[in-house]
Amino acid sequence: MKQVTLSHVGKTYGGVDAVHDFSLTVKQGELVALLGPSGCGKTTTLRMIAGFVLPTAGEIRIGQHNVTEMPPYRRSTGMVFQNYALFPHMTVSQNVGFGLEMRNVARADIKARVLEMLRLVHLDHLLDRYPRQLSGGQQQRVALARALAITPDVLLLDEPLSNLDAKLRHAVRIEIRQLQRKLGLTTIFVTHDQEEALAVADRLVVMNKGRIEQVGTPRELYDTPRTAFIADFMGRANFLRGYVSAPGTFLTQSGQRFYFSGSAPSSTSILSVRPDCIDLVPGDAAPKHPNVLSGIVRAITFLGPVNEVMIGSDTGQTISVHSRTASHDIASLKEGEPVRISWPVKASQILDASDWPDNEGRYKNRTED
Amino acid sequence: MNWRTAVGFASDAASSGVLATSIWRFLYYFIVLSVFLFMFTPVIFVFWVSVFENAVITFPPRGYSLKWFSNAWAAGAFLDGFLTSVKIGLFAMIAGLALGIPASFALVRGRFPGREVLNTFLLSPLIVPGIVAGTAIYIYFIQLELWTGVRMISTLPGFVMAHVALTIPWTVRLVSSTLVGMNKSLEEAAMSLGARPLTTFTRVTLPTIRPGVFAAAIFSFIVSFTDLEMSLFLAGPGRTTLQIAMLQYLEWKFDPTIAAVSVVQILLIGACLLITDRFVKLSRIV
Repeated sequence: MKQVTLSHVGKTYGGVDAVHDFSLTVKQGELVALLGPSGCGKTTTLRMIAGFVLPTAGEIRIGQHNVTEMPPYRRSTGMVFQNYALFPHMTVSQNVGFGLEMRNVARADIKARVLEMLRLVHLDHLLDRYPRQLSGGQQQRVALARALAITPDVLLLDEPLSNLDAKLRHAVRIEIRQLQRKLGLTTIFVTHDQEEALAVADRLVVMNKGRIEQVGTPRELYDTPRTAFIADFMGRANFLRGYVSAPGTFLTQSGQRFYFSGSAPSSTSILSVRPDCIDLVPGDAAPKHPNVLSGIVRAITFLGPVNEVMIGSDTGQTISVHSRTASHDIASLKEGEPVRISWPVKASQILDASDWPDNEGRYKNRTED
Repeated sequence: MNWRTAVGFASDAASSGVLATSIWRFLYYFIVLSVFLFMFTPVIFVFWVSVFENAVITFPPRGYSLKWFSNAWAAGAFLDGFLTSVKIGLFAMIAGLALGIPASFALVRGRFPGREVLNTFLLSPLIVPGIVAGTAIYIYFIQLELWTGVRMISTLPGFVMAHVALTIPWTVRLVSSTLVGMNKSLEEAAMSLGARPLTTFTRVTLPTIRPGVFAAAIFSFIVSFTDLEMSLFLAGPGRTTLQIAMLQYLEWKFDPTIAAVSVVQILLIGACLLITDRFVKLSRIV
């Protein structure tokens, strides 16, 4: 397993930047997720590392080797495709052994290695089956075993879980993570599912329109998003437009004052607060936190462990609040009645509004999945 | 009828609207059956006539006999024609595949100006009447003979060259359609595992499109084997195809021998199609 380095990599299709100035180092044994809406360039980036797409700018290194112009069959990358891409005319063991056969490994050694790989993914009883006789989850594991059999320098996963049902996705996700840790695999994982990325990755690279928006650990990106795009993409958030009027103080366009900690970009800004950081203030009680906003309850949606309360706030914007079903606050709430909400100073995040085009609280260029 | 439809039928009959439905259903099956009958009647008659005893075909037959089959065998012309047709068919099929498979790749995978035009051009023999194509090829071959002095008409290479025009459209059409449906990541997977382009082609691409290639081979053979119009211009003394042998026989004699030959031919082609269908569902490709 080796380190993968991309320096200023770019890909232009007929004058359009699919990927622009992409620089990233994936350390040996690290799992990095490329995350972003469809069309953000994450798959193109992965395909450039695999060698299926030639970059129009920059350099890609696997270990010490410059592989920028190298054809895919001379690189040592193990790729798992979204649709698994198992060879339909070969058995499970022929599929897993294909890469070794290409490397002219002795027949007996291939057999041993294939068995070892299939044991790793718990499929050593299905050696002679054909792919069409396997379930989606089994095909997925065969694809993984096939990619790992060649002891690749880097493991590339292209939306590997998106064709599985929700329950299986969760199980396979944990399995991939355990295997990656156990074998110390340098792994690059492409996904559009932020929850998946948060759960699996050591580091996340959030991409938007061909550019890196932010790189960091899951916690960093969730807690301190740099832009409104990240805040919105990394889970639901409420956005209030306004500006920083004094250090630690944010003034909305309609005149409400909110407090935040830390430094913040000047000029026009966005205050972001996550639905699960907001408390409902019961009746006439004193609010627990300094940031207080009142409004009218528009709708209450039961989501299981939490209820989503949509509040038409005095700022003119609809605020989403996640209130735990177990709490008492939610029981007394009625649609159409006034309500107050509050949130701690720490929960206010000030974001640069320069890439924030509309007043609707929705990010304009975000593709819904 | 299973119990579900049976129950449905009984409860349906209670309302008048459903009576109309069953009339429509009856009409539907009646039309379907009629169409099938219409299509199969000639074949049924050919089979029937081939075992008539009397030489002059009259209904009802005086008796039944298999002598026309042995008569056809003894005639010699049919056997010669059959062998010639098989030879032409096989060569035309192989040449058609050798040219049609690369063409399909270019048409499906390539991005070049005039791609659509080329595609239409390669399929065009399907829409040109055989007699027109035959005339054109005949004139062209005569010119070629005049210029080069090499005999083309009523030679095996001449037949094969002409018949390749018949087999290419089928090859291109059948191979292209499997190629379009092929998952491209299979080839990428092979390459990421270390397979060079040529190995990828022989080990992954070709096996994946095999059903299409197989269907193309069978269909090519059949269109070449059953062609009459184009061959009519190219046949000469000592080299006739089975179809021409049959036509020539009919010109001076009309007895059940011709039906016997047809029966053999229908069974052969039917067998070909059945074999093909075992490998690839024809209904999904053609």
